[in-house]
Amino acid sequence: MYNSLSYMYREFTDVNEALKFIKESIGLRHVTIIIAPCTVEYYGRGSSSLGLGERVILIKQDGAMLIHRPTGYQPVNWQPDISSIEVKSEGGVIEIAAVRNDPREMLVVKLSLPIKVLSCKLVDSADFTKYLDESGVRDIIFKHPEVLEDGLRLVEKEKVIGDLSVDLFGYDKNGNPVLIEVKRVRADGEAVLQLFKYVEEYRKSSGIKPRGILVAPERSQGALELLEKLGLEFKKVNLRKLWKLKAEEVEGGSRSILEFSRR
Amino acid sequence: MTFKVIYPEAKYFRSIIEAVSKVVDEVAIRVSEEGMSIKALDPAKVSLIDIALPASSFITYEVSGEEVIGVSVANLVKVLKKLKKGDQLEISSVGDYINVAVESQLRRKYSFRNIDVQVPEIPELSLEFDVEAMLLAEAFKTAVRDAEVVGDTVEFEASDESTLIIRGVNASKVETKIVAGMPSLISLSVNKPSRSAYSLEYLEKVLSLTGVSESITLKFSSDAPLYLEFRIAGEGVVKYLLAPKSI
Repeated sequence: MYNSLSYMYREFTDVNEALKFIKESIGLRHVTIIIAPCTVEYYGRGSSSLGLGERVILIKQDGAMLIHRPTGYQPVNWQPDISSIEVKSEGGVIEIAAVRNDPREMLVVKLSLPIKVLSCKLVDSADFTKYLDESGVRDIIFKHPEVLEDGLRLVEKEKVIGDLSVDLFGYDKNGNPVLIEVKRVRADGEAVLQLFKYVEEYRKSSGIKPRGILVAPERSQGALELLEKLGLEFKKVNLRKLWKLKAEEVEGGSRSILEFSRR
Repeated sequence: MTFKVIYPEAKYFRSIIEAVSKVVDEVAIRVSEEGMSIKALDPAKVSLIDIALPASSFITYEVSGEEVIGVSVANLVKVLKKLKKGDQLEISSVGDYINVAVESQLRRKYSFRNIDVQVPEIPELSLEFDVEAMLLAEAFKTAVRDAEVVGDTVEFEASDESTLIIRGVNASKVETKIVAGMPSLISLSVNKPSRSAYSLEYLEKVLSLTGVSESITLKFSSDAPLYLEFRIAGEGVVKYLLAPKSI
């Protein structure tokens, strides 16, 4: 599956050789990484000009082009999808012009020597997994209370108790009210105290002592002691398993209307 | 080229532009001798809005040839927000500018730069619908608003010739059943029992149009786009196509 990362790396002190290599790499739709002193001009919805400096120019297999300065995580200029890319040499300078038609935008990079180029074809078909946030964890537990205990019935998210609101509220199989506080990271003493506040508030307003369950992937030693002292419970959840439950849900994203175009 | 048109009820125009503003930021409006039309595809390409206001729906319509004007819909909405019922709206183009004038007790005029917006290339869609219903816009709006209470997905289902169900689905469900004979259902025809799910977030974008259209036409098939048609003041038509959620 992986072509054991076959790549070519070259350093150039000759413009014509560099031009040939870059042209070929882009033509083959390889990931092309160029390190060289360059200037950058952008025209389109706005316009910008960047003087001479040493930068990384990254041209991806789909033609997306990004120009990075030596610092900062964001590219200084970029062209997300390119209608055409032209590489030529003019007066001893290599010029890469990436043009986008809609909206009309043009990015022109002029490279000076010395030029270093890495060219490679990459394979990447993995799925991108976005991890759950706290409300995501809460929503999955709400739909799948069996991950906590059998017979648990959850009836409300963000239940308001006095001035507070608890993540989940429901009843266990014996009909006892249950308050649940969800954490997606290690639960500490503070999380326990938070849950205790809900439990106390509920007890005061209803006269019934509910069960309080802290749900998290793990807990600190301090949290453990405090839970015991306050008569609260802890349920460990496996985020990976929860994620799987979510992935199994039928609800997907919207499809594209263009899938229904006449072929 | 210049043109000048006057639309009699600015409020209707506002509802249309509000719906467009939720679909795209900038839009190309085609002004021809036949009328004014807008086609826009949202950036995620999930929905398509197609608006046609025939020349006859304007009180003044001075257009020769065809012109495409580009406007920032967000800007336009800001201006139109100040409109009142009964206000008249005049749109004209002069050189690089588009003028929008609101005629009520005062005459207010706004000028925008005519921006270069590409008319989206929208391929012809091949759509056949197994269910076609006509219902009161108000009933439709209520059903969709109810669905929003439980989540982000709405299901349309017609299992027989007499029942249309609009259902909000998530951990909880909420269902609006519209049955033949109810005053809110004008007509219903079902070729094949069908059920399909759509994003409420997208459907919400055109809900403002229920305020300016008495009835709506709704069409769908299982796992196929939803088609909504709003008739504005008898003559203008807004069509909205929404891709289904993948099941």
